[in-house]
Amino acid sequence: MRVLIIEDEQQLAESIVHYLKAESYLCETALDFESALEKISLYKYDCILLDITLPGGNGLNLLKELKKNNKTEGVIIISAKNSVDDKIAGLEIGADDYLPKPFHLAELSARIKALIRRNKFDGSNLIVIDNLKLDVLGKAATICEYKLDLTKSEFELLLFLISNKNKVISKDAIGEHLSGDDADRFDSYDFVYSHIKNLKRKVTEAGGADYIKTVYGLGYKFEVSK
Amino acid sequence: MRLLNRTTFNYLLYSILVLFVVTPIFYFVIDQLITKDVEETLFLQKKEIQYRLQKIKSDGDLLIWADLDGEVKIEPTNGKHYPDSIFNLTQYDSLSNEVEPYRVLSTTVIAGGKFYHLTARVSLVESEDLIKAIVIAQAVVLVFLLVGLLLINSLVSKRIWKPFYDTLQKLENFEVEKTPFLKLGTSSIIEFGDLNKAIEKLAERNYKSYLSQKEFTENAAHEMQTPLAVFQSKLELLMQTKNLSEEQAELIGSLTEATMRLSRLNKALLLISKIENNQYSENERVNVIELTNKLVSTFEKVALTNNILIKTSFVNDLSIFFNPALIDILLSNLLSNAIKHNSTNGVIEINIFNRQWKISNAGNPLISSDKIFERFQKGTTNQTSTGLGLAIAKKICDMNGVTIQYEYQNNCHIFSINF
Repeated sequence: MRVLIIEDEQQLAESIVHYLKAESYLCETALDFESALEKISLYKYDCILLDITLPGGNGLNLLKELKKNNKTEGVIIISAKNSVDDKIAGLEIGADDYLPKPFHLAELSARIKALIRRNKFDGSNLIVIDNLKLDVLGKAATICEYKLDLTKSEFELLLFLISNKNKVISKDAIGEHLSGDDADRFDSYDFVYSHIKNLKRKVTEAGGADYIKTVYGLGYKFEVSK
Repeated sequence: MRLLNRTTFNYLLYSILVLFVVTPIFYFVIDQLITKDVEETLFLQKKEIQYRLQKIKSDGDLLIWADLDGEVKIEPTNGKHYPDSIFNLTQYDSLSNEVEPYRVLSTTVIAGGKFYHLTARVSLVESEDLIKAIVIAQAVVLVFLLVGLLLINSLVSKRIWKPFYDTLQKLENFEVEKTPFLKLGTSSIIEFGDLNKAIEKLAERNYKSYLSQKEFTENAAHEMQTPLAVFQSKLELLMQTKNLSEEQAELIGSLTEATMRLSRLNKALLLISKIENNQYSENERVNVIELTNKLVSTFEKVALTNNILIKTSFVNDLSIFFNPALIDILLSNLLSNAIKHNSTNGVIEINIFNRQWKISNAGNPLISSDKIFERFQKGTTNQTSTGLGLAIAKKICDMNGVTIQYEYQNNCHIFSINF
């Protein structure tokens, strides 16, 4: 799967590449408007991460270019501006998602996965890990055909953990993800602990493996043997 | 006390003083004048009588003549000489049947080589009446003069000070966030003209520094986003490194938390500058009960983790015209604040009564509550708090002309907003 990262801050672009590499993505970076334009006209990508303020031009113009050429790439805008107007403009032109900086790489990774899942209509809305099956559209999880009784948040949590499997995810990244638009309202995400605890219990009680590990001092990890 | 009243008051005080001091003096002077006049009349009378007495030949004639004038008495003295003396005397007047004051001259006249004792008197009743009339007239004139002066002074002062009061009025309504420039106009009075110019300049400087402060906050917050994003991403990568020791993991964990706080702080500062920039200016009808219920259910997740119960009681409907995003931030900041500064198993109560939205929770009193709405005033050592929540709430209220108040009553922190 090919991902193009259009981001002028080289260090950030490198971090993203590094994080996504483990997911068997083929990542390319473009640090300015010109090289980005060249890359999108030459190659086809599954997903494009697009910064709005770029040397040489506005990222939104790249987006317009893409849409003009009827490209079907999924586009996620990553912007430092975090302004509602930019978000609306970006989504109106045809971006699929908007992620304000600073963001958690775990969140970015989950968004990319969700976007790619949505763009492929070949039944990939089903995620299978051992005997654990996740129906992303139906928002249901089963273990050996036994349906887990998960709350909406618990399902979201499970999906988020799986989207970042074998990665350590901080409590804050999980808390922000689960809070969605309300994330800024909360000062702390202490509720994550009880959600994790309940989810862990439900999965193991249904006969699932003890996937969810607590990583001391850091957060949590969904561990799957490769 | 108003400036105008103060000057008028001083005028009044002085005028009353003058009135009280001058009136007796005036009375005394007039009295002296009239007495002198009466005395002159009496001596003139003596001279005239002396002259007329030359023509009288016998004592009998003299007595008949003297009897004709009730105000003059002539008596033989048997050789005794009376020196001139003048004095006041109250005597019975048979005509008016009253005791009346007189000025009396007692002297000696010579007729036909004999001494006679002459007493001539002039009634002072008329003189006293005259003095009274003059003094009263004088007092009335003085009072009229005084009242007139005060009135004219107050009218003129009002007109003269009008530009000053206009300026004051405009200054009172001046808000640097809303009206960048203060237009005070010119005045025909040089001092006021200068004052207006000085104030206009001051307001302009004020606005410029406000603008640069605002821009600085905005730019600083924006520019911080990218390095923050880099920092956060590197930390996340660091987290993934194999075989981290417990010590290392703990360090990374602390760094992650600090980054979160920095990021939060940054967002809050950006929010403040957005509010100041009037980027939330479109208002809509907002049903406060609906919004409160929505927020309560959003915050329940956090409240339950700390075993805090949120109770609501709405006496009446409350519909306001407000920016939906701002009212959301305002109420959720207060709610979040009430959760943060609460005890475990605590209770938060939200009430709506008339146009008032009130939130209260039990807690220990604050050391200083007068700075509660200022930026970076932290009531607790809470690590996750930005210290900006209440400053943002206050800013929103100020920009929208609603009042927010804090009070501590019956061991409860109470915030109330009057829409």
